[in-house]
Amino acid sequence: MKDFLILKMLDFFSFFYRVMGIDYGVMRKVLQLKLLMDQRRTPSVLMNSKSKREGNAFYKSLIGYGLIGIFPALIIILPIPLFFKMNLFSGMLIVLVAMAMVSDFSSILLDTKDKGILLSKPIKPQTVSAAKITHILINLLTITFATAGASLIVGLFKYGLLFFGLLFFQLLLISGFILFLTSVFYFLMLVLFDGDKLKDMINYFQIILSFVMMVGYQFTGRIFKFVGHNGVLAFKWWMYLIPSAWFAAPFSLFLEDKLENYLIYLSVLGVVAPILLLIVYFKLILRYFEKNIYKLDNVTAKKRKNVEERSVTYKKLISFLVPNKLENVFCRFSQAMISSERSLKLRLYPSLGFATFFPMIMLANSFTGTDLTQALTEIPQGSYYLIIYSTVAMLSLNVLTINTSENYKGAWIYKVLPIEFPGVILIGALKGLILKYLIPVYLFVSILFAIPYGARLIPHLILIFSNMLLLMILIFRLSLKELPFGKEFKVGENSNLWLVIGSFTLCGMSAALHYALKDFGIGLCIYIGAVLFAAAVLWKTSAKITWKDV
Amino acid sequence: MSIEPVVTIKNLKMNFGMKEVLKGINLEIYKGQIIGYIGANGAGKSTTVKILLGLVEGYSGEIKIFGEDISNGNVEYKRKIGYVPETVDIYENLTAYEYLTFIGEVYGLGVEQVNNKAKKLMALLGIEDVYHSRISSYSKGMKQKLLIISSIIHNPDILFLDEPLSGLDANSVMIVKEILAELAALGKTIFYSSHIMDVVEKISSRIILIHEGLIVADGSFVELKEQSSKGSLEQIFNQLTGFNKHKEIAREFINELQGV
Repeated sequence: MKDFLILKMLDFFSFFYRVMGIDYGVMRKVLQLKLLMDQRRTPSVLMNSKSKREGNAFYKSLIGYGLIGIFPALIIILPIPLFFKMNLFSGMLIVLVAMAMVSDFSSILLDTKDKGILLSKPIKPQTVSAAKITHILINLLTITFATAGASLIVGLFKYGLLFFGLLFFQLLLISGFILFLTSVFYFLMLVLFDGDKLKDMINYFQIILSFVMMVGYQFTGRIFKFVGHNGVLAFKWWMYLIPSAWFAAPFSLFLEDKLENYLIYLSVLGVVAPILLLIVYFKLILRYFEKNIYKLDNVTAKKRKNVEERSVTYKKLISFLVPNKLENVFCRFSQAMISSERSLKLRLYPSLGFATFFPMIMLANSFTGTDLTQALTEIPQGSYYLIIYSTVAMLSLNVLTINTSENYKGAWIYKVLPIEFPGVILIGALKGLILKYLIPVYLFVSILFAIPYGARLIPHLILIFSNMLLLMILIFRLSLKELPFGKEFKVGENSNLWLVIGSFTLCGMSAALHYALKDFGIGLCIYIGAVLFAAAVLWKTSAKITWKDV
Repeated sequence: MSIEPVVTIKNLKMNFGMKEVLKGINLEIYKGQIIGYIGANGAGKSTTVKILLGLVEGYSGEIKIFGEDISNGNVEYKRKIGYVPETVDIYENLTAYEYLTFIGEVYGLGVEQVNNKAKKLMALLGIEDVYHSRISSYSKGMKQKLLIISSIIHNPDILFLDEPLSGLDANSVMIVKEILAELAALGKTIFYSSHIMDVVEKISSRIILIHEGLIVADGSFVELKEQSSKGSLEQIFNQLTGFNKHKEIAREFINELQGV
């Protein structure tokens, strides 16, 4: 079997695993197998499917992370004080890493599939857990270093080798910190809750985490306000609570030789916190993690009495919106799938949370220092509603989420059913997602924005909504046609960088055009009409997909 | 009087890469037959069934179902077909209610209609309690029963069953066998593959044995018995697939296990 370089590197730390009571030899073997499986794509269930792609999507997605890494690298070039600069930098990295952790790696951490294979053998559960967490750590570090690669090089040239070395070490700490912190949280929930409640709690946790991350990152940016005239960042006690300050302090300490007490304490925190979490995880949690994870498979047989009548009513209700009979069936099918599948929700919900909170935080950020009543009178005078386009951009990214499923092998059913054009399956499922999950978020955000603006926001909201429908169908048209819930989820395959860039660019362009036309009643009307027309045409024509296309 | 075959297969060949799985299958299936399709592991049984359903493409040869070539893209024939796959792969995060009504609705049945039917069929097979539970909580036998129900809920004319009895308890096997016999008596065609020779021997009106991608035997059990002068289908199977070393292999296997 292929021996991976990373495993040889891991061998240096084998003593650590042994100290923690883990059978390193077995763990290494399990890890080797996991890495090997990462390299292989599971063949599509429906053979001769066109969507087969060669190569490893995870490594391809690293190019995307490398490109995103240009932004943090730019921060390092900026002529601002070092402590502040590194705060911004580590804040940005923490957000990126944590998002990858929540949206991509949670499903690996909470995976229950390999239990039957591994735990039926004489392998201790903590060894399985250790292999799992190390596997995630390897992937997470790969992502972190891909993202920070540009910054490392820029830093090396600008500040020299010491900076490079420090940053390298800090990257390890940041990844470990995020990984173990989220794992500890997941573990607490596994212990505290059970059954469907547990699944709900995990979803809530992810939404809350994405919210905290957004707010936290804004908070890092807010440190700007505390930069004095001489460009020195004044120390405040609450900095001990901000992880980005922990990871920024050593740079000031070592590169600027500032032997301030608070810098020392912060630096120590940055080292101690991840290591402490690591020890807590390995010493206290590891052994029980696998034991509790079975709870995720527990199914509480809910007696739902009126479910049958309700679904009949619901079918009638949405038949106005989805008149095509087959599309209607697949619309409800996809809603049932999404609402009952954990791993789908694990990826969908955080992103919905982001889309909900992001505009609010943007708005709050523009009005720091002003009180609420003042802000409420000021908002209607500007075009702040254009911020809703950021929600639209983020919501549209979810269009491809429904391609994957834990039970992707069930997709044979599509081919056995008498369906002439699979377009109805794809469009129906997409409509299900949009109607039940994306539109409610849009409406919620719209209503919030309508509070200060009042009824005169309605035409703008209609325009933004039409743009959203257009963008979603564009993404659908331009991406590979794949049957819903038809393939296995693999890390990296959904984080399509071009999709993100495309979605945000199109939203930016729509917002710019919207801004230019906002005061011309007729122009706005024409714009709305044109977008609605384009969206309607695209939606109408998109169902013409043959079996050869999927 | 000439009877039109419901399924006609002419010179069906299929390759997976370099490997030739089917080397020219010729077959005509008639209404009301219960066909036991047998063969060793990897002989091409499941592949044949998957090709007939359009799950696998890239074959050569001609397949007609109800007189219509299935490669012409017309899917109407699938309305009259039911299928139980070999492996129990279902969207098991759904409940039986959700899954069955979904399938029924695609076949064009009304929600209430398919709901009532599904509930009654589940009750008859003794699994009505879990109608609103997620399929992932089912035992293997319960899932198999669900698959059987989902394959016949639209009252198809042909049933393709790949190991339909796996995981079922003895009583359920009796029920399903009886159902198959009754369906055949009603003029439905049943095409099923199995490894359990006793069952095949008892319920099939016609047995087809496939070996290395070719049909090597075709006829009723009585006919096969006459041809090969063996007492049981199992022995006929061994003879036609050229296998007679089971004792030696088993002995070597045990020796290897015990490290002799």
